[in-house]
Amino acid sequence: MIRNEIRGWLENQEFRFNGDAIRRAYDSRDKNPGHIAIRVLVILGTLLSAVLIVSILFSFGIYDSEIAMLVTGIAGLLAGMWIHLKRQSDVTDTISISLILMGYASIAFALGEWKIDTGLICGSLIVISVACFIFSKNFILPFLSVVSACIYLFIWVQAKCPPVFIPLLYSALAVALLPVYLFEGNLLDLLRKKGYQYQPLRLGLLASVLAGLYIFSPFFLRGLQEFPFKHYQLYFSVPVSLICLSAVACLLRETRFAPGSWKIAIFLIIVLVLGLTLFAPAIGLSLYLLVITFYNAHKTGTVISIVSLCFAIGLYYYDLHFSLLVKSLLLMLPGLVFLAGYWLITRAER
Amino acid sequence: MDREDIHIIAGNSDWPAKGIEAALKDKVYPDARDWLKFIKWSFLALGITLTLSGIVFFFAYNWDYLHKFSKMGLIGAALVFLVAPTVMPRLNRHTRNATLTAASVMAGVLFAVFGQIYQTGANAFDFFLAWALFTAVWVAVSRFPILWLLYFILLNTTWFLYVEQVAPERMSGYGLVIATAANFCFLVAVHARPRFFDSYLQGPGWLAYCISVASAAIAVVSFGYALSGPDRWIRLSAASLLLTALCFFLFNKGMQTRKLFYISLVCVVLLFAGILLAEKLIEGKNALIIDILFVAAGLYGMVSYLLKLNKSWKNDTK
Repeated sequence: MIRNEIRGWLENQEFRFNGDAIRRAYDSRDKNPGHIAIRVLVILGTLLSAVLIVSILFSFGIYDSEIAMLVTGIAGLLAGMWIHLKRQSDVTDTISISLILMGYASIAFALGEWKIDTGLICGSLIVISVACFIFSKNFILPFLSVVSACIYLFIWVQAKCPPVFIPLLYSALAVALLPVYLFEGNLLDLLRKKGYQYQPLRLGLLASVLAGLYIFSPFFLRGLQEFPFKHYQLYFSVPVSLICLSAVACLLRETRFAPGSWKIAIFLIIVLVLGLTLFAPAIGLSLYLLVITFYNAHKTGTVISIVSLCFAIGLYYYDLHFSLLVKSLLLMLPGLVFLAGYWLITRAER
Repeated sequence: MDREDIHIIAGNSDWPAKGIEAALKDKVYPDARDWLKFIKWSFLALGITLTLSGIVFFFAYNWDYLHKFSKMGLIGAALVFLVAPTVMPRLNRHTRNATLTAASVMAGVLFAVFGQIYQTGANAFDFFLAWALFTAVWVAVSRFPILWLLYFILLNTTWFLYVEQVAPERMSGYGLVIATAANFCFLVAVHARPRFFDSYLQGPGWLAYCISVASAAIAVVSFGYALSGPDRWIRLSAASLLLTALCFFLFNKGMQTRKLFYISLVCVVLLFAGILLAEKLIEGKNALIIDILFVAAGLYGMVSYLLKLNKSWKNDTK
């Protein structure tokens, strides 16, 4: 049901709108109100169910035959998609997404068993993910589709391209976040009827950029691996630092919260922080994500960025090749600078 | 008007991009005051964390050139410098809380340096116990949720170190059960006396969420551990009883406060407990079938119930 406040507001607008469609959208929202706790439960549950279904198929020996695997996979995908499109609700999504994930895994296993080229496997899985994103509704399936498409893109680049392409793809995803977070209005104008896919696209891209850095770069989860070439970190940090600076410049121009001199000071502080942490790419990325998610009022994104920033700062100091005494001074100095900044802001507020 | 309203209207009209952007800036995005607040608190949090970490690293270095009395004197002076201003009634609430948090960390540094200088031979449990005991009063008077959360982690660490280092045989596998019971009591206290944990908050906030998740996780692990030794039926009964009590409590809280978070948490706990039970009672392929049936049916039922509940609560508030 459209609230009176919205109805009154709409009547005073000059643009044309479809009143019936808006009412239907509100009715559908009232019928199926989403909640973050339910979404988390559904994502957890569907992943768990998918793993269990795949294990059961394994134990029954279906995966001994590649053809059976492929047939099961395609059947799972089609059945899951059919249920998802037929009954669009979080309840049926628990079953449909489990089936789709099972289908996805089965197709990947079948193609893997046939020793098909990695590029072809990744390509087909990316196509399936993109198709799922285009045809899906609600939040969970489009979100999982974006994440899986990006992850398979990373796997494909890692397997088929020279190492410099990983930071390139990572930077491209970081650039893609800019319009999603800073120009939401333009994007909604572009998507129009598909506007419901904005939120899963936003969170999916954010998760993919983080996965790109933490999983597909050699600095974090993959341990101390040989870098493909010298100063490989700079290939990750320099583009993201530049993107971060352009985002900050754009936001400082738009927001009117401080006089010009303060804006220059803030910009210079961020340049200094990014410059000092060029060899720690996670700090630049986390800072960039924190700025854009806070601007966009994306609470989940802000929390993820804060956690990532804490982890990145901890790792930065852990990896410094100095004695504990020098490290302590390097910790205390910026600490005192931040405290002085807090004191200055408090004083200026008065 | 919120973000969802804007998205619905934009999807069913020819509202120009500029208008959508202006509405988002006006109704959804943070304004100048929010930005200033965000920067201010980020600076304070970063400043305190980095400075305190620097102090901890400084004493961890165990600098030979610094005499032992200088080391102890420096920490003592820092403690006095931090604690003395907190008794001033005019001190800002946030500054008092931040200072008491810093003082609590410094108390830990003091015990660590004391053990380092005099080689007391104490194990990690003694260190954490002393730290927990000597900061208890500050934590209680601060009524600051961040400090309470750190204290909660400190207490749990102390207990698990006791079980591991001091009484591994005496506890005979009851360590997790007792931890579940203690965390459950802590959770009840956070809900029953919220103002004791947060001086300004009227109801349980994020602290209650964190403690609930931690307590639920420990209860499930305790239940799983108890299931692995079914011959000790007293332990299994105690773990099952505590898990049931925790679920009842969380469910009750969720219904009282109309927060889906607690009910969803109960669902997750039941899901994991059910899987653990099926794995224990049934073996082989049948266990997997029962698991998948349980997860699929349970999830379907739970999500239906949660959606129904959410809808009815939303209708009631209209």
